[in-house]
Amino acid sequence: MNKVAILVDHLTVNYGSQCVLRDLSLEVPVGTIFGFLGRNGAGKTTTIKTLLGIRRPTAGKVEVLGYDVVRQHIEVCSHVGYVSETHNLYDYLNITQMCAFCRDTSRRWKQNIVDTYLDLFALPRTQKIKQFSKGMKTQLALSLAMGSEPDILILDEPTADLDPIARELFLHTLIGDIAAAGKTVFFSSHILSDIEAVADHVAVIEGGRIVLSAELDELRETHKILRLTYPEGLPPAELEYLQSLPHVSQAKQEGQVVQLHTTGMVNELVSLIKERLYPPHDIETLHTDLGSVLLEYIKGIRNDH
Amino acid sequence: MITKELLDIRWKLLVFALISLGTAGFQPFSLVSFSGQLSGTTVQRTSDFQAHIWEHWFYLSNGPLIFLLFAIVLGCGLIATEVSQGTITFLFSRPLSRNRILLTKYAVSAASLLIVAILSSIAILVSSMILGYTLDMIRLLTATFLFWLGSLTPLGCALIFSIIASDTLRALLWSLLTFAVGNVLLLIPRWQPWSLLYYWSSRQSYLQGTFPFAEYIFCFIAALLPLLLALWLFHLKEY
Repeated sequence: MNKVAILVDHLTVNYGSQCVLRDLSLEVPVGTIFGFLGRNGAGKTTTIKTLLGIRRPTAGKVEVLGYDVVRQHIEVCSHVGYVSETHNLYDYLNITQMCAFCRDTSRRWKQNIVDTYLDLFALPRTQKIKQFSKGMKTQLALSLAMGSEPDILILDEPTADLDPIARELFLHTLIGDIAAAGKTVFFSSHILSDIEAVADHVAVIEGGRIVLSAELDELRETHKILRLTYPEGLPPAELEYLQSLPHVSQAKQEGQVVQLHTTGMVNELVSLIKERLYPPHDIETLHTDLGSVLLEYIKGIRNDH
Repeated sequence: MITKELLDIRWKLLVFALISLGTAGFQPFSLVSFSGQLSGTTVQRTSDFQAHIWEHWFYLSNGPLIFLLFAIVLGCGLIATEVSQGTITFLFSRPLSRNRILLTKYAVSAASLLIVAILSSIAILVSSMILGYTLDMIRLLTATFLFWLGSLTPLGCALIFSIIASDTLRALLWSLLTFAVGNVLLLIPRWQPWSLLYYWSSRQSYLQGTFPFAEYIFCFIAALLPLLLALWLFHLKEY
């Protein structure tokens, strides 16, 4: 069995003369919840369109469950469930008609799975989709995506229009259920808390490039803050030295305290700092707020991973 | 997918069917209203009546105009509407080839045109019978199918513009402009053989009863070429 659900290898996508994705590489293991973060226009939707074979790569290779997205688009789509950020469903249909359309255009279709989700969300079967709220459309899109028993669920900003209760239901119950069934979830969002809540692997895209790809646990482990307290004022040259150390992404001085934001090798850094001519009298290792770390990657402040 | 396509075009189809059936069914009565009953022998009267029907339905005035407009309206919406409403991404995320998507959409529209063409001919037939005239069924059917085959060219051309243009309105304007320019040829007698309508409304076959092979072949090729071009463009187009 294929252990890699999604493989993106040096992908470049141009829109005319504009380069939207540059030399992007990703690997999504089977069974993971993969958070794909980035600000608007960073290239998230283009990446997803390429994964679905809707957009052709200008260069590079994209495989989903071992299928080439360009040459085996139909195979790819028969294994993938997709929920779009704009909930582009046919407004003039009702749920029953929409289910019939999806059944006719699917290789496998389990109406009982769809019914379970429709009941869970209490969606009215006979009402036209145009009368639904954005949140209801998201819920319907997800229910339909589950009907074809996908091995991979690709969600493009799915929680943007959900109210807090629906969001909670979506993130914990559904994503939890899906992950428990061993399916892979590729979850694009610009909402850090959503990714932090459910993902076990995260990638950050900025300006069409991947600036971070790591497991969340690994990020928590490697991204720490070293709080150095000095007995007296620190010479500027020493602050510059600290800033230049490997795995230090940021150094902030506030009086006698210097905070170093690290991206790994914490013990080695501590040893190095202790051997300095001006060693701090106290070194404290703090856990960093993962949200703010990711935010720095999204903003492009960090690109050191 | 066929049900979804039919639901999508249901209002257009209904309006078109009403206009077409009403106009077609009125043609036999228009003869009586404007010219009075035909006189002469039965053969002469029947022949004149056939000529009247051809002149007022299959030729330039009513039928072609209605079918041309409807084929364009249908064709323009096939892809451009999916793009402007954003549903094209959802459609492409289904395990369907682009060929199947385009051909299903085209087939539903072509079938709609055929059904309305046949119903319109039935309306002519019924109206004629009410007035006591008989029409040659074979000639009527031959002309109806040729008429339908001819209407597939504007459908295919509008489909091309529907793929190229970013919205339905632009596709509609481009299609109308193309056919307006194309039909200017009809105004110049020696250029008429270069016009689609010249073959689409074959007077010779309808009034003299010969089977219009050349016209059928011309209309078939004229229908096939834009469809093939549309399929090729649809494969190339990035959304």
